[in-house]
Amino acid sequence: MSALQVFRKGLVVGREDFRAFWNLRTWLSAWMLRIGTGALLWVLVGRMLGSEEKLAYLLIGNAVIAGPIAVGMVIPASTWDRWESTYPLLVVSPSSMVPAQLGRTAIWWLHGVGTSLATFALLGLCFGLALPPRAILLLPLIAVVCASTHAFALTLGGLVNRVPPLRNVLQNSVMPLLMAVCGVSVPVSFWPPWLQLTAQVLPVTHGLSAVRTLLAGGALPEVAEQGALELLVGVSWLATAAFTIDWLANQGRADGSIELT
Amino acid sequence: MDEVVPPSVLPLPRVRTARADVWFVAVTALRTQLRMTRHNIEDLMPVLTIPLLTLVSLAIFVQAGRADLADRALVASLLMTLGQMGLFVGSEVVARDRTQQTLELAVAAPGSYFVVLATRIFMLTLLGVLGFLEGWLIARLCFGVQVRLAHPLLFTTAVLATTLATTGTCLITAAFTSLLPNARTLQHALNGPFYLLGGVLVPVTLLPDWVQPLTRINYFYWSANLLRAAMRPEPPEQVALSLLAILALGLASAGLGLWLLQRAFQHLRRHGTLGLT
Repeated sequence: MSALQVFRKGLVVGREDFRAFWNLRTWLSAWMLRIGTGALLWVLVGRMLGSEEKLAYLLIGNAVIAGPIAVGMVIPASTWDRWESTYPLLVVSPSSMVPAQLGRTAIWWLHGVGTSLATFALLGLCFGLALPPRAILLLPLIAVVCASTHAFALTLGGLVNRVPPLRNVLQNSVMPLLMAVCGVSVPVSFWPPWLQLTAQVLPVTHGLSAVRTLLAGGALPEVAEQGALELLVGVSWLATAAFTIDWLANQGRADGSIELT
Repeated sequence: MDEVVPPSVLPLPRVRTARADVWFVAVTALRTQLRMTRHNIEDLMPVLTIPLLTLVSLAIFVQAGRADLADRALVASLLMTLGQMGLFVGSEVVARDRTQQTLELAVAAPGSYFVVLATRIFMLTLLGVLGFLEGWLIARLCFGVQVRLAHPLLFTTAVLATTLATTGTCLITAAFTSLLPNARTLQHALNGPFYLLGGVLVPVTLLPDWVQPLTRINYFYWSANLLRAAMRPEPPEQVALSLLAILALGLASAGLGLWLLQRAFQHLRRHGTLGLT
Protein backbone atom coordinates (compact mmCIF):
# COMPACT_ATOMS: atom_id res chain seq x y z
CA MET A 1 0.00 0.00 0.00
CA SER A 2 1.43 3.36 -1.00
CA ALA A 3 1.94 6.19 1.47
CA LEU A 4 -0.91 8.08 -0.21
CA GLN A 5 -3.29 5.15 0.28
CA VAL A 6 -2.30 4.92 3.95
CA PHE A 7 -2.84 8.66 4.30
CA ARG A 8 -6.33 8.33 2.77
CA LYS A 9 -7.24 5.51 5.18
CA GLY A 10 -5.98 7.72 7.98
CA LEU A 11 -8.30 10.49 6.81
CA VAL A 12 -11.28 8.16 7.13
CA VAL A 13 -10.30 7.22 10.70
CA GLY A 14 -9.78 10.89 11.51
CA ARG A 15 -13.23 11.76 10.24
CA GLU A 16 -14.72 9.20 12.62
CA ASP A 17 -12.58 10.59 15.47
CA PHE A 18 -14.02 14.02 14.80
CA ARG A 19 -17.57 12.69 14.66
CA ALA A 20 -17.09 11.19 18.12
CA PHE A 21 -16.67 14.74 19.42
CA TRP A 22 -18.68 17.04 17.21
CA ASN A 23 -21.37 17.30 14.60
CA LEU A 24 -22.24 20.51 12.75
CA ARG A 25 -24.81 21.57 15.35
CA THR A 26 -22.60 21.00 18.42
CA TRP A 27 -19.57 22.46 16.63
CA LEU A 28 -21.42 25.68 15.84
CA SER A 29 -23.02 25.91 19.28
CA ALA A 30 -20.91 24.35 22.05
CA TRP A 31 -17.47 24.55 20.45
CA MET A 32 -17.84 28.04 19.07
CA LEU A 33 -19.43 29.22 22.33
CA ARG A 34 -16.38 28.00 24.18
CA ILE A 35 -13.81 29.38 21.75
CA GLY A 36 -15.74 32.59 21.05
CA THR A 37 -16.25 33.50 24.71
CA GLY A 38 -12.63 32.59 25.47
CA ALA A 39 -11.39 34.93 22.73
CA LEU A 40 -13.88 37.61 23.81
CA LEU A 41 -12.47 37.49 27.33
CA TRP A 42 -8.99 38.36 26.05
CA VAL A 43 -10.16 41.00 23.58
CA LEU A 44 -12.09 42.77 26.35
CA VAL A 45 -8.81 43.15 28.22
CA GLY A 46 -7.95 45.72 25.53
CA ARG A 47 -11.15 47.60 26.31
CA MET A 48 -10.43 47.40 30.04
CA LEU A 49 -7.04 48.99 29.39
CA GLY A 50 -8.84 51.77 27.51
CA SER A 51 -6.86 51.27 24.32
CA GLU A 52 -8.62 50.65 21.00
CA GLU A 53 -5.21 49.87 19.48
CA LYS A 54 -4.63 47.13 22.06
CA LEU A 55 -8.17 45.87 21.50
CA ALA A 56 -7.52 45.50 17.75
CA TYR A 57 -4.17 43.83 18.46
CA LEU A 58 -5.79 41.29 20.81
CA LEU A 59 -8.70 40.74 18.44
CA ILE A 60 -6.47 39.73 15.52
CA GLY A 61 -4.16 37.70 17.74
CA ASN A 62 -6.95 35.77 19.42
CA ALA A 63 -8.88 35.18 16.21
CA VAL A 64 -5.78 33.63 14.62
CA ILE A 65 -4.69 31.61 17.68
CA ALA A 66 -8.17 30.06 17.94
CA GLY A 67 -7.14 27.85 15.00
CA PRO A 68 -3.91 26.52 16.51
CA ILE A 69 -5.74 25.97 19.83
CA ALA A 70 -8.16 23.70 17.94
CA VAL A 71 -5.30 22.02 16.08
CA GLY A 72 -3.78 21.23 19.49
CA MET A 73 -6.06 18.16 19.49
CA VAL A 74 -3.40 16.57 17.28
CA ILE A 75 -1.24 16.00 20.38
CA PRO A 76 -3.68 13.67 22.19
CA ALA A 77 -4.96 12.29 18.88
CA SER A 78 -1.44 11.06 18.11
CA THR A 79 -1.69 8.70 21.08
CA TRP A 80 -5.15 7.28 20.41
CA ASP A 81 -3.72 4.31 18.54
CA ARG A 82 -2.11 3.37 21.85
CA TRP A 83 -5.47 3.23 23.66
CA GLU A 84 -7.10 1.37 20.80
CA SER A 85 -4.24 -1.17 20.66
CA THR A 86 -3.76 -0.49 16.96
CA TYR A 87 -0.37 1.10 17.59
CA PRO A 88 1.60 -2.20 17.54
CA LEU A 89 -0.14 -3.14 14.26
CA LEU A 90 0.91 0.17 12.71
CA VAL A 91 4.45 -0.24 13.98
CA VAL A 92 4.89 -3.72 12.49
CA SER A 93 3.19 -2.86 9.19
CA PRO A 94 5.54 -2.35 6.21
CA SER A 95 4.47 1.29 5.74
CA SER A 96 5.94 4.18 7.68
CA MET A 97 3.87 5.41 10.64
CA VAL A 98 4.02 8.98 9.31
CA PRO A 99 1.29 8.92 6.61
CA ALA A 100 -1.03 7.04 8.97
CA GLN A 101 -0.56 9.62 11.74
CA LEU A 102 -0.67 12.54 9.32
CA GLY A 103 -3.89 11.25 7.75
CA ARG A 104 -5.63 10.46 11.03
CA THR A 105 -4.86 13.86 12.51
CA ALA A 106 -5.47 15.96 9.37
CA ILE A 107 -9.11 16.50 10.33
CA TRP A 108 -7.95 18.69 13.24
CA TRP A 109 -6.19 20.98 10.77
CA LEU A 110 -9.51 21.53 9.04
CA HIS A 111 -11.15 22.00 12.45
CA GLY A 112 -8.51 24.66 13.22
CA VAL A 113 -8.97 26.57 9.96
CA GLY A 114 -12.76 26.61 10.46
CA THR A 115 -12.42 27.68 14.09
CA SER A 116 -10.08 30.55 13.29
CA LEU A 117 -12.23 31.88 10.44
CA ALA A 118 -15.42 31.58 12.51
CA THR A 119 -13.73 33.39 15.42
CA PHE A 120 -12.64 36.16 13.06
CA ALA A 121 -16.23 36.52 11.88
CA LEU A 122 -17.62 36.45 15.44
CA LEU A 123 -15.16 38.96 16.90
CA GLY A 124 -15.44 41.12 13.80
CA LEU A 125 -19.20 41.32 14.32
CA CYS A 126 -18.89 42.03 18.04
CA PHE A 127 -16.33 44.82 17.68
CA GLY A 128 -17.22 46.18 14.24
CA LEU A 129 -14.00 45.13 12.54
CA ALA A 130 -14.23 46.15 8.89
CA LEU A 131 -12.30 43.72 6.72
CA PRO A 132 -10.82 45.06 3.46
CA PRO A 133 -11.22 43.00 0.22
CA ARG A 134 -7.64 41.79 0.56
CA ALA A 135 -8.78 39.99 3.75
CA ILE A 136 -9.64 37.09 1.43
CA LEU A 137 -5.94 36.27 1.81
CA LEU A 138 -6.69 35.38 5.43
CA LEU A 139 -7.80 31.97 4.24
CA PRO A 140 -4.41 30.79 2.87
CA LEU A 141 -2.53 32.47 5.73
CA ILE A 142 -4.65 30.81 8.40
CA ALA A 143 -4.40 27.50 6.54
CA VAL A 144 -0.59 27.80 6.67
CA VAL A 145 -0.59 28.79 10.37
CA CYS A 146 -2.78 25.78 11.21
CA ALA A 147 -0.64 23.50 9.02
CA SER A 148 2.59 24.54 10.74
CA THR A 149 0.91 24.08 14.14
CA HIS A 150 -0.25 20.66 12.95
CA ALA A 151 3.32 19.66 12.13
CA PHE A 152 4.56 21.02 15.47
CA ALA A 153 1.81 19.17 17.34
CA LEU A 154 2.63 15.96 15.44
CA THR A 155 6.20 16.18 16.74
CA LEU A 156 4.97 16.66 20.29
CA GLY A 157 2.39 13.89 19.77
CA GLY A 158 5.17 11.57 18.60
CA LEU A 159 7.18 12.35 21.72
CA VAL A 160 4.24 11.98 24.09
CA ASN A 161 3.52 8.57 22.57
CA ARG A 162 6.26 7.36 24.90
CA VAL A 163 4.29 8.66 27.91
CA PRO A 164 0.64 8.73 26.77
CA PRO A 165 -0.84 9.81 30.15
CA LEU A 166 0.80 13.21 29.62
CA ARG A 167 -0.97 13.85 26.30
CA ASN A 168 -3.64 16.25 27.58
CA VAL A 169 -1.30 18.01 30.00
CA LEU A 170 1.10 18.66 27.15
CA GLN A 171 -1.65 19.92 24.84
CA ASN A 172 -3.02 22.29 27.43
CA SER A 173 0.43 23.55 28.45
CA VAL A 174 1.69 24.29 24.97
CA MET A 175 -1.24 26.43 23.87
CA PRO A 176 -0.94 29.12 26.62
CA LEU A 177 2.79 29.25 25.88
CA LEU A 178 2.14 29.87 22.18
CA MET A 179 -0.41 32.53 23.19
CA ALA A 180 2.17 34.24 25.37
CA VAL A 181 5.29 34.03 23.22
CA CYS A 182 4.21 34.13 19.55
CA GLY A 183 2.89 37.68 19.37
CA VAL A 184 -0.77 36.90 20.10
CA SER A 185 -1.15 39.09 23.17
CA VAL A 186 2.03 41.16 23.27
CA PRO A 187 4.65 41.80 20.57
CA VAL A 188 7.44 39.21 20.44
CA SER A 189 9.88 42.04 21.21
CA PHE A 190 8.38 42.24 24.74
CA TRP A 191 10.19 39.04 25.75
CA PRO A 192 13.88 38.51 26.55
CA PRO A 193 16.17 37.88 23.52
CA TRP A 194 16.40 34.11 24.03
CA LEU A 195 12.61 33.83 24.04
CA GLN A 196 12.35 36.07 20.96
CA LEU A 197 14.72 33.67 19.22
CA THR A 198 12.62 30.69 20.32
CA ALA A 199 9.49 32.38 18.95
CA GLN A 200 11.09 32.52 15.50
CA VAL A 201 11.10 28.71 15.24
CA LEU A 202 7.66 28.21 16.74
CA PRO A 203 4.50 28.02 14.64
CA VAL A 204 2.11 31.02 14.59
CA THR A 205 4.76 33.79 15.01
CA HIS A 206 5.42 34.53 11.32
CA GLY A 207 1.93 33.66 10.09
CA LEU A 208 0.30 35.95 12.63
CA SER A 209 2.75 38.68 11.70
CA ALA A 210 1.67 38.22 8.06
CA VAL A 211 -2.00 38.53 9.07
CA ARG A 212 -1.30 41.72 11.01
CA THR A 213 0.62 43.20 8.04
CA LEU A 214 -2.18 42.19 5.68
CA LEU A 215 -4.93 43.79 7.77
CA ALA A 216 -2.86 46.90 8.43
CA GLY A 217 -2.63 47.46 4.68
CA GLY A 218 1.06 46.53 4.45
CA ALA A 219 2.81 45.61 1.22
CA LEU A 220 1.71 42.24 -0.18
CA PRO A 221 5.30 41.05 -0.87
CA GLU A 222 5.99 41.54 2.85
CA VAL A 223 2.87 39.50 3.68
CA ALA A 224 4.02 36.77 1.29
CA GLU A 225 7.50 36.77 2.82
CA GLN A 226 6.15 36.32 6.35
CA GLY A 227 3.72 33.67 5.12
CA ALA A 228 6.59 31.83 3.42
CA LEU A 229 8.58 31.93 6.68
CA GLU A 230 5.62 30.36 8.48
CA LEU A 231 5.51 27.68 5.79
CA LEU A 232 9.23 27.05 6.21
CA VAL A 233 8.79 26.66 9.98
CA GLY A 234 5.93 24.22 9.29
CA VAL A 235 7.96 22.16 6.81
CA SER A 236 10.84 21.99 9.30
CA TRP A 237 8.49 20.75 12.02
CA LEU A 238 7.00 18.23 9.59
CA ALA A 239 10.46 16.83 8.89
CA THR A 240 11.11 16.67 12.64
CA ALA A 241 7.76 14.95 13.19
CA ALA A 242 8.46 12.40 10.42
CA PHE A 243 11.81 11.55 11.97
CA THR A 244 10.47 11.49 15.56
CA ILE A 245 7.43 9.31 14.86
CA ASP A 246 9.33 6.52 13.08
CA TRP A 247 12.38 6.74 15.33
CA LEU A 248 10.31 6.47 18.50
CA ALA A 249 8.26 3.63 17.01
CA ASN A 250 11.49 1.75 16.33
CA GLN A 251 12.74 2.54 19.81
CA GLY A 252 9.50 1.15 21.21
CA ARG A 253 9.90 -1.97 19.12
CA ALA A 254 13.46 -2.36 20.42
CA ASP A 255 12.56 -2.03 24.09
CA GLY A 256 9.20 -3.81 23.86
CA SER A 257 7.10 -0.84 24.99
CA ILE A 258 4.89 -0.43 21.93
CA GLU A 259 1.91 -2.01 23.69
CA LEU A 260 2.20 0.00 26.89
CA THR A 261 -0.43 2.66 27.46
CA MET B 1 -42.38 -28.35 59.05
CA ASP B 2 -41.42 -24.68 58.84
CA GLU B 3 -43.15 -22.64 56.21
CA VAL B 4 -40.81 -21.58 53.41
CA VAL B 5 -40.77 -17.82 53.07
CA PRO B 6 -40.31 -16.66 49.49
CA PRO B 7 -37.19 -14.48 49.13
CA SER B 8 -39.21 -11.50 47.98
CA VAL B 9 -40.90 -11.10 51.39
CA LEU B 10 -37.79 -11.66 53.51
CA PRO B 11 -37.09 -8.52 55.53
CA LEU B 12 -34.09 -6.54 54.26
CA PRO B 13 -31.27 -6.02 56.77
CA ARG B 14 -31.72 -2.71 58.56
CA VAL B 15 -29.15 -0.14 57.53
CA ARG B 16 -28.22 2.53 60.04
CA THR B 17 -26.89 5.82 58.77
CA ALA B 18 -25.97 7.77 61.89
CA ARG B 19 -24.38 11.19 61.62
CA ALA B 20 -21.05 9.68 62.66
CA ASP B 21 -21.30 7.30 59.71
CA VAL B 22 -21.75 10.24 57.33
CA TRP B 23 -18.55 11.83 58.61
CA PHE B 24 -16.74 8.51 58.38
CA VAL B 25 -17.92 8.08 54.79
CA ALA B 26 -16.91 11.66 53.92
CA VAL B 27 -13.43 11.37 55.43
CA THR B 28 -12.86 8.00 53.76
CA ALA B 29 -14.05 9.38 50.41
CA LEU B 30 -11.72 12.33 50.81
CA ARG B 31 -8.71 10.15 51.56
CA THR B 32 -9.58 7.76 48.75
CA GLN B 33 -9.85 10.62 46.25
CA LEU B 34 -6.49 12.03 47.32
CA ARG B 35 -4.92 8.59 46.89
CA MET B 36 -6.52 8.19 43.43
CA THR B 37 -5.44 11.66 42.31
CA ARG B 38 -1.86 10.97 43.40
CA HIS B 39 -1.75 8.18 40.84
CA ASN B 40 -3.51 10.01 38.02
CA ILE B 41 -1.82 13.11 36.61
CA GLU B 42 -4.90 13.79 34.43
CA ASP B 43 -6.75 14.83 37.60
CA LEU B 44 -4.26 17.63 38.10
CA MET B 45 -4.27 18.84 34.50
CA PRO B 46 -6.07 22.16 35.22
CA VAL B 47 -3.69 22.87 38.10
CA LEU B 48 -0.70 22.26 35.85
CA THR B 49 -1.94 24.14 32.80
CA ILE B 50 -4.52 26.89 33.56
CA PRO B 51 -2.18 29.07 35.65
CA LEU B 52 0.07 29.34 32.59
CA LEU B 53 -2.54 31.80 31.34
CA THR B 54 -1.17 34.14 34.02
CA LEU B 55 1.81 34.52 31.67
CA VAL B 56 -0.53 35.86 28.99
CA SER B 57 -2.59 38.21 31.18
CA LEU B 58 0.38 39.58 33.11
CA ALA B 59 2.37 40.10 29.91
CA ILE B 60 -0.51 42.24 28.59
CA PHE B 61 -0.79 44.22 31.84
CA VAL B 62 2.97 44.74 32.24
CA GLN B 63 3.41 45.74 28.59
CA ALA B 64 0.59 48.27 28.99
CA GLY B 65 2.26 49.64 32.13
CA ARG B 66 -0.57 48.34 34.32
CA ALA B 67 1.19 45.90 36.65
CA ASP B 68 -1.25 47.16 39.31
CA LEU B 69 -3.86 44.90 37.65
CA ALA B 70 -1.87 41.80 38.62
CA ASP B 71 -4.51 40.87 41.20
CA ARG B 72 -6.99 40.44 38.34
CA ALA B 73 -4.62 38.03 36.60
CA LEU B 74 -4.16 35.96 39.77
CA VAL B 75 -7.86 35.88 40.65
CA ALA B 76 -8.66 34.79 37.08
CA SER B 77 -6.04 32.06 37.31
CA LEU B 78 -7.40 30.85 40.66
CA LEU B 79 -11.07 30.88 39.68
CA MET B 80 -10.47 29.26 36.29
CA THR B 81 -8.43 26.51 37.94
CA LEU B 82 -11.10 25.92 40.60
CA GLY B 83 -13.77 25.91 37.90
CA GLN B 84 -11.89 23.53 35.62
CA MET B 85 -11.07 21.18 38.50
CA GLY B 86 -14.76 20.99 39.33
CA LEU B 87 -16.24 21.12 35.85
CA PHE B 88 -13.81 18.90 33.98
CA VAL B 89 -12.41 16.64 36.71
CA GLY B 90 -14.99 16.58 39.51
CA SER B 91 -17.92 16.19 37.13
CA GLU B 92 -16.32 13.06 35.72
CA VAL B 93 -16.36 11.17 39.05
CA VAL B 94 -19.66 9.37 38.42
CA ALA B 95 -18.85 8.66 34.78
CA ARG B 96 -15.46 7.30 35.83
CA ASP B 97 -16.95 5.10 38.57
CA ARG B 98 -19.33 3.77 35.97
CA THR B 99 -16.55 3.05 33.48
CA GLN B 100 -14.45 1.35 36.13
CA GLN B 101 -17.45 -0.75 37.23
CA THR B 102 -17.30 0.56 40.82
CA LEU B 103 -20.53 2.56 40.71
CA GLU B 104 -22.77 -0.44 41.42
CA LEU B 105 -20.74 -1.33 44.51
CA ALA B 106 -20.65 2.26 45.73
CA VAL B 107 -24.41 2.71 45.27
CA ALA B 108 -25.18 -0.63 46.91
CA ALA B 109 -23.05 0.21 49.97
CA PRO B 110 -24.92 1.42 53.10
CA GLY B 111 -23.14 4.78 53.09
CA SER B 112 -24.69 7.56 51.00
CA TYR B 113 -23.15 7.75 47.54
CA PHE B 114 -24.10 11.42 47.35
CA VAL B 115 -21.92 12.15 50.39
CA VAL B 116 -19.08 10.25 48.70
CA LEU B 117 -19.60 12.12 45.45
CA ALA B 118 -19.90 15.60 46.97
CA THR B 119 -16.79 15.01 49.10
CA ARG B 120 -14.75 13.79 46.16
CA ILE B 121 -15.78 16.73 43.98
CA PHE B 122 -15.03 19.13 46.86
CA MET B 123 -11.58 17.62 47.33
CA LEU B 124 -10.74 17.81 43.63
CA THR B 125 -11.98 21.40 43.38
CA LEU B 126 -10.03 22.44 46.45
CA LEU B 127 -6.83 21.21 44.82
CA GLY B 128 -7.38 24.05 42.36
CA VAL B 129 -6.03 26.39 45.05
CA LEU B 130 -2.59 25.21 43.95
CA GLY B 131 -3.28 27.18 40.77
CA PHE B 132 -3.09 30.40 42.77
CA LEU B 133 0.33 29.44 44.09
CA GLU B 134 1.52 28.68 40.56
CA GLY B 135 0.13 31.99 39.27
CA TRP B 136 1.76 33.86 42.16
CA LEU B 137 5.12 32.25 41.35
CA ILE B 138 4.78 33.15 37.66
CA ALA B 139 4.07 36.77 38.61
CA ARG B 140 7.03 36.88 40.99
CA LEU B 141 9.62 34.97 38.96
CA CYS B 142 8.74 35.95 35.37
CA PHE B 143 7.63 39.54 35.87
CA GLY B 144 9.01 40.51 39.28
CA VAL B 145 5.49 41.44 40.39
CA GLN B 146 4.69 40.68 44.00
CA VAL B 147 1.05 40.39 44.91
CA ARG B 148 0.18 40.60 48.59
CA LEU B 149 -2.87 39.26 50.39
CA ALA B 150 -4.10 42.22 52.40
CA HIS B 151 -6.90 40.23 54.05
CA PRO B 152 -5.80 36.58 54.24
CA LEU B 153 -8.73 35.45 56.39
CA LEU B 154 -11.24 36.88 53.93
CA PHE B 155 -9.28 35.32 51.05
CA THR B 156 -9.38 31.87 52.70
CA THR B 157 -13.10 32.19 53.47
CA ALA B 158 -13.85 33.28 49.90
CA VAL B 159 -11.85 30.35 48.46
CA LEU B 160 -13.68 27.85 50.70
CA ALA B 161 -17.09 29.35 49.84
CA THR B 162 -16.21 29.26 46.11
CA THR B 163 -15.08 25.65 46.41
CA LEU B 164 -18.38 24.74 48.07
CA ALA B 165 -20.36 26.56 45.38
CA THR B 166 -18.33 24.87 42.63
CA THR B 167 -19.03 21.49 44.25
CA GLY B 168 -22.74 22.26 44.22
CA THR B 169 -22.67 23.34 40.58
CA CYS B 170 -20.66 20.31 39.54
CA LEU B 171 -23.26 17.96 41.03
CA ILE B 172 -25.47 19.18 38.16
CA THR B 173 -22.85 18.49 35.48
CA ALA B 174 -21.99 15.16 37.17
CA ALA B 175 -25.63 14.12 36.72
CA PHE B 176 -25.38 14.85 33.00
CA THR B 177 -21.99 13.17 32.49
CA SER B 178 -23.27 10.06 34.30
CA LEU B 179 -26.22 9.74 31.96
CA LEU B 180 -25.43 11.32 28.62
CA PRO B 181 -22.61 9.97 26.46
CA ASN B 182 -21.99 13.36 24.82
CA ALA B 183 -22.24 15.46 27.99
CA ARG B 184 -18.72 16.74 27.42
CA THR B 185 -20.22 19.01 24.80
CA LEU B 186 -22.11 20.64 27.68
CA GLN B 187 -18.89 20.98 29.67
CA HIS B 188 -17.22 22.71 26.73
CA ALA B 189 -20.20 24.99 26.20
CA LEU B 190 -20.38 26.08 29.85
CA ASN B 191 -16.70 26.75 30.21
CA GLY B 192 -16.19 30.08 28.45
CA PRO B 193 -19.49 31.83 29.30
CA PHE B 194 -19.01 30.94 32.96
CA TYR B 195 -15.77 32.92 33.22
CA LEU B 196 -16.86 35.73 30.93
CA LEU B 197 -20.12 36.30 32.82
CA GLY B 198 -18.31 35.89 36.13
CA GLY B 199 -16.01 38.80 35.40
CA VAL B 200 -13.02 36.76 36.51
CA LEU B 201 -10.58 38.78 34.38
CA VAL B 202 -12.43 41.77 32.95
CA PRO B 203 -15.22 43.72 34.69
CA VAL B 204 -18.72 42.63 33.73
CA THR B 205 -19.56 46.30 33.14
CA LEU B 206 -17.79 45.90 29.79
CA LEU B 207 -20.46 43.44 28.71
CA PRO B 208 -23.73 44.57 27.09
CA ASP B 209 -26.52 45.77 29.40
CA TRP B 210 -28.84 42.87 28.59
CA VAL B 211 -26.23 40.43 29.91
CA GLN B 212 -25.78 42.19 33.27
CA PRO B 213 -28.60 40.38 35.19
CA LEU B 214 -27.06 37.03 34.21
CA THR B 215 -23.79 37.94 35.88
CA ARG B 216 -25.46 38.19 39.32
CA ILE B 217 -26.65 34.58 39.22
CA ASN B 218 -23.12 33.38 38.51
CA TYR B 219 -21.31 32.80 41.81
CA PHE B 220 -17.98 33.56 40.11
CA TYR B 221 -19.09 37.20 39.90
CA TRP B 222 -19.34 37.42 43.69
CA SER B 223 -16.21 35.31 44.23
CA ALA B 224 -14.09 37.41 41.88
CA ASN B 225 -15.13 40.65 43.61
CA LEU B 226 -14.51 39.18 47.05
CA LEU B 227 -11.11 37.69 46.18
CA ARG B 228 -9.91 40.92 44.58
CA ALA B 229 -11.11 42.86 47.65
CA ALA B 230 -9.14 40.45 49.84
CA MET B 231 -5.96 41.28 47.92
CA ARG B 232 -6.28 45.05 48.11
CA PRO B 233 -5.33 47.11 51.18
CA GLU B 234 -8.63 49.06 51.25
CA PRO B 235 -11.32 47.80 53.67
CA PRO B 236 -13.40 45.25 51.76
CA GLU B 237 -17.02 46.09 51.05
CA GLN B 238 -20.17 43.94 50.79
CA VAL B 239 -18.40 40.95 52.35
CA ALA B 240 -21.50 39.43 53.97
CA LEU B 241 -23.64 39.96 50.87
CA SER B 242 -21.02 38.41 48.57
CA LEU B 243 -20.45 35.39 50.85
CA LEU B 244 -24.19 34.89 51.23
CA ALA B 245 -24.67 35.08 47.45
CA ILE B 246 -21.89 32.54 46.78
CA LEU B 247 -23.24 30.09 49.36
CA ALA B 248 -26.89 30.55 48.36
CA LEU B 249 -26.13 30.00 44.67
CA GLY B 250 -23.99 26.97 45.57
CA LEU B 251 -26.73 25.54 47.77
CA ALA B 252 -29.38 26.03 45.10
CA SER B 253 -27.12 24.32 42.53
CA ALA B 254 -26.41 21.46 44.95
CA GLY B 255 -30.15 20.95 45.51
CA LEU B 256 -30.80 20.86 41.79
CA GLY B 257 -27.76 18.61 41.27
CA LEU B 258 -28.94 16.10 43.89
CA TRP B 259 -32.40 16.00 42.37
CA LEU B 260 -30.94 15.43 38.89
CA LEU B 261 -28.57 12.77 40.20
CA GLN B 262 -31.45 10.92 41.88
CA ARG B 263 -33.37 11.01 38.61
CA ALA B 264 -30.30 9.85 36.70
CA PHE B 265 -29.65 6.98 39.09
CA GLN B 266 -33.31 5.92 38.99
CA HIS B 267 -33.02 5.81 35.21
CA LEU B 268 -29.79 3.80 35.32
CA ARG B 269 -31.23 1.37 37.89
CA ARG B 270 -34.46 0.92 35.95
CA HIS B 271 -32.50 0.07 32.81
CA GLY B 272 -29.92 -2.03 34.65
CA THR B 273 -27.07 0.07 33.27
CA LEU B 274 -25.46 1.38 36.46
CA GLY B 275 -22.36 -0.64 35.73
CA LEU B 276 -22.53 -0.67 31.97
CA THR B 277 -20.43 1.60 29.82
